[in-house]
Amino acid sequence: MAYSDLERDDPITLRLAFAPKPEGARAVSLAVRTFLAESGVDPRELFSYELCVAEASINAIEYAEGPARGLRPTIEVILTPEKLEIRLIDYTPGFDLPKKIAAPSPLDERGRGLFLIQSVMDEVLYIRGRRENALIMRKFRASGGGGPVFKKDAKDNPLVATPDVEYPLDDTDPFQVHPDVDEQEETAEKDLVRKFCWESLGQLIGAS
Amino acid sequence: MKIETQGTCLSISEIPELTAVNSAQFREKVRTALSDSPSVIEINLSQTRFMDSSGLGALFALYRATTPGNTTVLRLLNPIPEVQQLLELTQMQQLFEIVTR
Repeated sequence: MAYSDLERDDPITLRLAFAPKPEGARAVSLAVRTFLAESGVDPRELFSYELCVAEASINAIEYAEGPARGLRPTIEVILTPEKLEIRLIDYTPGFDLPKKIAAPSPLDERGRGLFLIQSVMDEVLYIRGRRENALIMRKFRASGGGGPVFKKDAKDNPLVATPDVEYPLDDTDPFQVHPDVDEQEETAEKDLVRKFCWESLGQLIGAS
Repeated sequence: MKIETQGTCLSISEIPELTAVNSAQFREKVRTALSDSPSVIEINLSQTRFMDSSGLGALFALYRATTPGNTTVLRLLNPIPEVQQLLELTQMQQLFEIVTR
């Protein structure tokens, strides 16, 4: 495929590194909320996304060990008409994310963060790397100029209004939903590899 | 955050948010106020625009601190819809009386 055949995709994006302390995590969750509000996301959804960023960010700080405790985690937000994707890069030892975390007992003092994230988002992936890890949180949005029709009382997902329409899937959709989890993870891994290659290329060019 | 005692009722209000940043401070202040052994604890959440799992943990700590005698009424007043949904999703509403006035 020639370069001229490629179609430029310009989602609305935000990328922030934050101080590895609770105040930094809070600041970044507020910044993401403001960014999404200014980008036209339904106000009824803002609390839930702010919550996901807050939970993921505080985990990235709390579980970092040794010198990694001083590294600044990074949050990336990609917003298109079809999808909201929030990626959090952390420097913790990482963990194995269960596909579905059961609701914790109300008598548990801790351990609600990932459950809340999975309750809000449509897809949550965790990719462990040698130096860093990526938590990828996706919420699919209805496409179309008129905006989605939202249910007011989504029983299976009470924290966020969910679209009342099917997501159109076709070959031109850059964010096609993959029903197979392995395929989703493979796609996410390819994204990371692609990003790494571009960054390495950029460093090579900069060094030469 | 404002803490007042009226008779045997401990009222906690003016909490803009309850998060990992201020949940420890919330716990400490409330723990100090519990020395008066109130029979009712009312936490006014009407101004609480945001709460995360650390905030939920602080509420649970309050529940745990008052359960041994099991006579203290724990009341959450006027949570915004998002906070109420958060309490329901995590089943924390089982531990508190949630009141809208």
